[in-house]
Amino acid sequence: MTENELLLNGTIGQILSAVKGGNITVEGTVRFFIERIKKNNLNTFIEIYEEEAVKKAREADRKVAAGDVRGAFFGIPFALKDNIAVKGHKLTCASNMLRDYTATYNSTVYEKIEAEGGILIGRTNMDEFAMGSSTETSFYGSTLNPWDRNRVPGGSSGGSAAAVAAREVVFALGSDTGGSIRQPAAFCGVTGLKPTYGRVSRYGLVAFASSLDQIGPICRSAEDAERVFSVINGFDKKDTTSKEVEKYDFTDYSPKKFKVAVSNDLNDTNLNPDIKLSLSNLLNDIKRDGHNVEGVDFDFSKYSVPVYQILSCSEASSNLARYDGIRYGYRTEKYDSLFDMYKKTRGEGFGEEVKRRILFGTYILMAKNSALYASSFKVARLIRDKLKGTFEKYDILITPTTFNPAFKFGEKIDDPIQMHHSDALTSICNLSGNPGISIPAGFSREGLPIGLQIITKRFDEKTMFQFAKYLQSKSNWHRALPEE
Amino acid sequence: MKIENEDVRKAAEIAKIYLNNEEVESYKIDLEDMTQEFLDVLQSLGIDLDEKFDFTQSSSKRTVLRNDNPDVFEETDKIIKNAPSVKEGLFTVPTILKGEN
Amino acid sequence: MYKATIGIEVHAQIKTKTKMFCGCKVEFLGKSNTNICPVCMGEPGTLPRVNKRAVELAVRTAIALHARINMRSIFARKNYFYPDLPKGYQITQSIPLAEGGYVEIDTGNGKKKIAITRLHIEEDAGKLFHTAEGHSFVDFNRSGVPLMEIVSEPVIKNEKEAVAYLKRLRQIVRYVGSSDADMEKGQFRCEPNISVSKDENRGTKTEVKNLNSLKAVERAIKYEISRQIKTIDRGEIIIQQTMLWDKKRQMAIPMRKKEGVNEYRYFKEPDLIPLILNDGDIEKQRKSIPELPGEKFDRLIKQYGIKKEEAEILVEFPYIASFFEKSVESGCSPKYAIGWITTDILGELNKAGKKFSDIKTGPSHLAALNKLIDNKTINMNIAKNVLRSIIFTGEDGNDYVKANNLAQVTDENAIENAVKELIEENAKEVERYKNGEEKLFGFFVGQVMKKMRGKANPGVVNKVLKDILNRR
Repeated sequence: MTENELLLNGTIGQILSAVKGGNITVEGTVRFFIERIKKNNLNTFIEIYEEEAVKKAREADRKVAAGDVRGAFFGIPFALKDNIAVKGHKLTCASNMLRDYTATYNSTVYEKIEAEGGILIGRTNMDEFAMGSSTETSFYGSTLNPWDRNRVPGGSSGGSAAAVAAREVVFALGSDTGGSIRQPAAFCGVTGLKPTYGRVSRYGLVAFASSLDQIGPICRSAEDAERVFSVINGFDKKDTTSKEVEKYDFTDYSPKKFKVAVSNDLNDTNLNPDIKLSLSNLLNDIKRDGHNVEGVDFDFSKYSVPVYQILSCSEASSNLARYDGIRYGYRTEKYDSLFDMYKKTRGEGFGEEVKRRILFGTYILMAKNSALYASSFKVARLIRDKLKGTFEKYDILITPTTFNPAFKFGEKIDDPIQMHHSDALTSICNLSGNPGISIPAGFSREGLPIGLQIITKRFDEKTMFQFAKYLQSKSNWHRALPEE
Repeated sequence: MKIENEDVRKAAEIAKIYLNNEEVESYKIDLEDMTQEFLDVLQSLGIDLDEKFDFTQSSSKRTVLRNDNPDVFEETDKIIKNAPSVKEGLFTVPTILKGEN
Repeated sequence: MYKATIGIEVHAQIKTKTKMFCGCKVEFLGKSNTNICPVCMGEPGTLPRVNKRAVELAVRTAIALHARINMRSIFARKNYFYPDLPKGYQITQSIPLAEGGYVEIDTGNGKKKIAITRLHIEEDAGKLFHTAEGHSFVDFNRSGVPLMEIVSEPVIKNEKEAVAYLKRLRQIVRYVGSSDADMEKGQFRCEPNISVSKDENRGTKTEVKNLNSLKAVERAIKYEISRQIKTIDRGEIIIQQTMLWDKKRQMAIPMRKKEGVNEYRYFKEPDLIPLILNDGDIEKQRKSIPELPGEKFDRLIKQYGIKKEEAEILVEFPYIASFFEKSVESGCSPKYAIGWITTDILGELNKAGKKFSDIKTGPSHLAALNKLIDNKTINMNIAKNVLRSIIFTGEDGNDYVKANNLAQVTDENAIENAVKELIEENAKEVERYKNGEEKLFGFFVGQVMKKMRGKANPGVVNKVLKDILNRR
């Protein structure tokens, strides 16, 4: 493998060995990726921390020279979605509201990666406050899909997914409330994991919907995603909704026979035929390998979005009440009373989609509608129970990640309902709390990536990674690179 | 489900967001659609509206409590520095008379 | 005939070192906005963490209120905008930590149980300063300080009962150590709701805020009851509203109408899982509960035969009660001890503007004085004088009596001489006494005592005086 090949398609483990062996320098690695960001010009990053990253890289190189190399991500460049706090850096959530806000503390996930030697090279673009499925609601403009610059990268973690797909960074973190990691991962042809709710600390993740939000990795492969997940997972006393379970450790792939359930969404007439074809071929392969594959009647994609909307908007309306122009963030210039200041500040500071969701959530939580929010949890419970039943019989549930590949800019932005529905297959996991991973599973005839979603029972990321690594051991979809 | 312009205005009032008439109209339609979709889901799943339904997303069983030991945040100046309007270490807001809230 | 109905909501600051959901110190000594951190300032991405001690102290309070503790209580958000509320919502509880329970008060004619509706935990808001120059200022040092909200049922009949209830409740939280409950510092905030009615139905209620002392509570309730009665008698209706007590004008003034609408949009706090308690947690707190004020009140009366008012003072000030009980233990009679403490010691402290902790005499001093009376070395009046003289010096009573030559005179000859002198000087009065004006006898006793500088044994004076007067 040449240095170029290594940096473009190597795993975290391979790059780490090259750094340790002195075959490549950390500074060279960091510069390689920063140059790509600039050259690609996909608007993946809101800010690049070039100076700081290079400085850290040089320190790392000195350590290599001194033989003092420690950490699972030593010298590995990574990026964070711009809703994850890093002390001293801006934390904007791609919103006018927070464009001047500097974080005063570190998120737990950042501290964990930093402690392993990872080098942060910037914060990535996203839909404003993670509300969107295309990165089009960003205050900083859309990110372009590296496979087709006329198309969206998906969202809300569109910047992170596109950056990993365009090989502008080795890995990135995103956040997933209804599919915001998995949907852009599918659109960009990369691997994206939403862990089990409570598995990764949310401390330092700007809240959208607290009951659904999880941070997760977006990577080149399932193996890398597992490496990142094994670092960032674990109970955090700063997030008491995180669960005290044994910390997850990376496990080498060992072949076994899986019992695989396939959701009948694969037969949905709304499913893009190319996606259907790719996934059907893949399933046939799996069967040929001797795994037990059965279809299950699993129609929650019809229900998930409206429920997700009720639940997430209700919580968002409360979570976003703190942006009032008093302690931090945007404040309108002219006002004649306190309430005038509030309304102008929030009217001007938030974009249209954010306001829509706050209004909807506010309306839902009003006393006369209060049964709606509570009832949305009833459906969430139903989905959780049904999935639990499924996993009594099967190890794995497979669905498409999305019904369609990446759409064109402007195609859905004026139709919020349509836009929301691109989360139909992913938001199931957020509602139930189960983990879900999207891995590349082929290309449409237009050359757009196709995503396959793997769901397992809660806290069973192990089986999920074993299965994903099995699939990636026999295919090369995840190694395909967009043309430059 | 029918939603009136007044409902949207009331929600905007509570959420402290200025809306113009055009926005009220357009948001109203979205709110109607989103609410109706949800009610349709409940109906097709045979689920009743239930105000009291009590469910926690986290699967943590035990409440992890914090010991009452001070953990002083040293960089309060950094917090204050983020504020749009500060005077002598106090956050400033338009005048509110006592008794008005 | 109108009947008043009163319910009271109390916010008591829980006595913790740190805030409810973060590690910031609870103290209000220094500059504004110094005890703040990303959590209590509601910075994006931060999450609350429940203070264990606050929960323990709330549980302890609930036990002392005989309340039923919910083994699973739920935190909830109360959403509204105000500059002193950083997150745009206050974390409170929808399923409270405890429900039911009561506080027993002494109404003067018997005991009465004031029922408690619920006790829950919540966080305090910051503080607003108002100026006339177009700006208000916010200090967040208080933001996130733990509070217990204790709500009574509307079963209180008048201002006297209200004060008795609040006094007892305040004693309870102090006894169990859950709150210092200093009203002036805002650690014990009382908001009574008041209504009047001629029949069994409850009338429209008003709520009164800004009450910084029990005196203010008493006056505000009295004022509001009378205002409501007058309003109804004029044929007007009572408007349901919140009033602010104006201390200067001694009246309750309606608060300005709130802008917009009140929709708190309560929902379960998704950042916190339910608060689960087990029997062990509760037993541990139950064991640490001391004798409670009501029990102490009854015991003091029963054990020492002291008056209700005296017992009430001891219950209100446990350190005085302890001084009292130690005095009795050291051998002082309860009757003498309670009198000396409540009249002489407290009187002297009051005069000198000093605190109880300033006194140098201990319980043994009281016992010693009692002994001097018993062995007739001094009389009660001298004893009181001695006590008042040694309060701040801690001098030994015996020594003081000797040094100042205060020992009682029982020598009949000395007293006889004084009596004879008196009779000579007051021939007219003696004449009147002889003619049947017997009440003059007291005057003669007083005069003899005066001549003997108060040291004469009153019994001997009586005897000698009677003998001599009768002989004449």
